[in-house]
Amino acid sequence: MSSTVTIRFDLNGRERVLDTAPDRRVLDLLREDLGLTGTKEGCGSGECGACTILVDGESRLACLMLAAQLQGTQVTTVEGLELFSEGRAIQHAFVREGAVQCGFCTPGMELATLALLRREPRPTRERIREGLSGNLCRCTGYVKIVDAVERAATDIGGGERE
Amino acid sequence: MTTTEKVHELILKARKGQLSPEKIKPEADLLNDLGFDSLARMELLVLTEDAFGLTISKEDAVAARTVGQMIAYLESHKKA
Repeated sequence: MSSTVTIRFDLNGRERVLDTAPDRRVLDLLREDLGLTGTKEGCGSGECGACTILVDGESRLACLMLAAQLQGTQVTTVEGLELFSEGRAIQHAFVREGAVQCGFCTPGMELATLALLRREPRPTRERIREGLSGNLCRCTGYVKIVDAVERAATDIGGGERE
Repeated sequence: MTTTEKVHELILKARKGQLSPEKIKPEADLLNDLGFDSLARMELLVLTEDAFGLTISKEDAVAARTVGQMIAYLESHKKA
């Protein structure tokens, strides 16, 4: 039987204190222990980006993080995206541009987009492709996703679309 | 078609056949009662914008939590 540790972190604006095995994957902690199933498991080995979350504002893969690494952090999952005006703009842009097909990659794509646009508010299409290169989509061919990120960048910045 | 009828139709469309029409009541909360998640709510926002010819701020969309609040917003903002 493995020992447990107590971890304290902020999850989508709410403090959480959990007793958990320190080597439990964050992905399992979110989905199974906390019931936040918006974070998806794709490959489970850090290749596909479906499980992307934000930890202290940086995009991280929940399948490659261990529970103990969350101690003292601020975590955002797709369930918390609408807490941010940028998050709402990103979701709106994904729907408006038809960037969601099966939807499996969408939570990870949207969180990676939030991290990208905070780093780089007006990225070129090339930079968007680079910024989302860790997130795979098997449906869309990416054009609509890049369109959505461009729209979100414009909406968040309050500028005109070209 | 009245605003209420139109809103009911849009809610059913956004939930893609996963909702019984009788559950749509003025006091029904989109998230807690009708099974919307944040993305489905954005889909409803886009459908509503297109159906009513409006641009609705995401903040207003999030503030309208119930069917009744959504109808009241549209009644006060729809084009004559």
